[in-house]
Amino acid sequence: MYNAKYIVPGLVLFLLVFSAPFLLSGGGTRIVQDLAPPLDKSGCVEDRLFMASSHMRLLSFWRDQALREGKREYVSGSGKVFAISLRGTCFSCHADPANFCDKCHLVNGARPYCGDCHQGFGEGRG
Amino acid sequence: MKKRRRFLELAGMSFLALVGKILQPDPVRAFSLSGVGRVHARTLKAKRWAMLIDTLKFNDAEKFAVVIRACHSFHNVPSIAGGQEVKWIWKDTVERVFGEETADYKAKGLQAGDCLLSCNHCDNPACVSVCPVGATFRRPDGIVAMDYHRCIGCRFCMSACPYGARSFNFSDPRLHIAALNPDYPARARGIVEKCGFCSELLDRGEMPLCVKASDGAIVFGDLADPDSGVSRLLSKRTSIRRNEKLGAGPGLYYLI
Repeated sequence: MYNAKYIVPGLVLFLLVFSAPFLLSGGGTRIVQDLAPPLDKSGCVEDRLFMASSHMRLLSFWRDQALREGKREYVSGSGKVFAISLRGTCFSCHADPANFCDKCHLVNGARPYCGDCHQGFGEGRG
Repeated sequence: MKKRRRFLELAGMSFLALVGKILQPDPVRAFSLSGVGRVHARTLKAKRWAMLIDTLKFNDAEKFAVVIRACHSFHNVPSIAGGQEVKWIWKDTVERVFGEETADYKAKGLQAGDCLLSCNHCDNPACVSVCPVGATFRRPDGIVAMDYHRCIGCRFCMSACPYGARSFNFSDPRLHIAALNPDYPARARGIVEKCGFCSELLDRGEMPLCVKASDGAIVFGDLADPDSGVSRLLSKRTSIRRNEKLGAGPGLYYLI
């Protein structure tokens, strides 16, 4: 290889700069610990781990049930009945979305736009 | 020769490893929802919801204003003047509403003046046929509803609707809402919106807001049930619909 003494260090430097954001952040999803606690501590609609990772799946299911099927209630696996309502159910417990939704979303670079239409979300819009 | 064999083996194994990695169950996604949706016990059910508007009882401007305000203030409909107007329920003169059929209808007893208008929740809704993303759909009870989450703002439905029942949000509607009702979402810029026959209230056992505010001038009920209030009124009084020859099958009847 011609000019290896320039090209090899150059390549190494490039790779380092290029991967710096990944190396420095440690990779993976950041878990935020100091979220605003729910008002009712007896448990969420679904399992806590599921809610942390997949709450959008629940919300999407709820949306289709309510709008398309006319089913405005959700019976969870444990038999508890919840009204399918962001304001009536989610926000009645998570009353401080700015310190709940926003906190995780901002750290993880998620930018949902739920708050463009639905009221009660913080500045993170979802 | 050996080199080539070795290369093919390696390539094959790498490919299998990659496929395995892609197919590997994600521990988070493997979770599924534990519950199911359920219809509210108080839900009002029908095979075909329809609305009867008694034109004789809509005789002064205030009557229209009360009904329109009841709907628009609850549903966070922005008030914008001019061509970018957003409306779920509104009024216009009978000449403009019934067009060339006005003379025939006047002979049947239609009074001159204004007329209340809204989405007709058609039997064959053109807006549903043209929506490329399934944002507009017809519920089994006849309500032509919208899933605003899915709307991409293409406005095909606005071109397709023969009744002008749909409005587009050219700007952020929140800038044009005096007092936001926290109990109902607003819409966003670039979204089409329209009346949904208050399906969210029907699903909780309440009548639509315009019906409640009309003081008996609007009757709402099941067209498929011969004993319902709407069916009985329709058999007793003369009624007309907008532009019936189109075959859309509008669900708004005007009693004259």
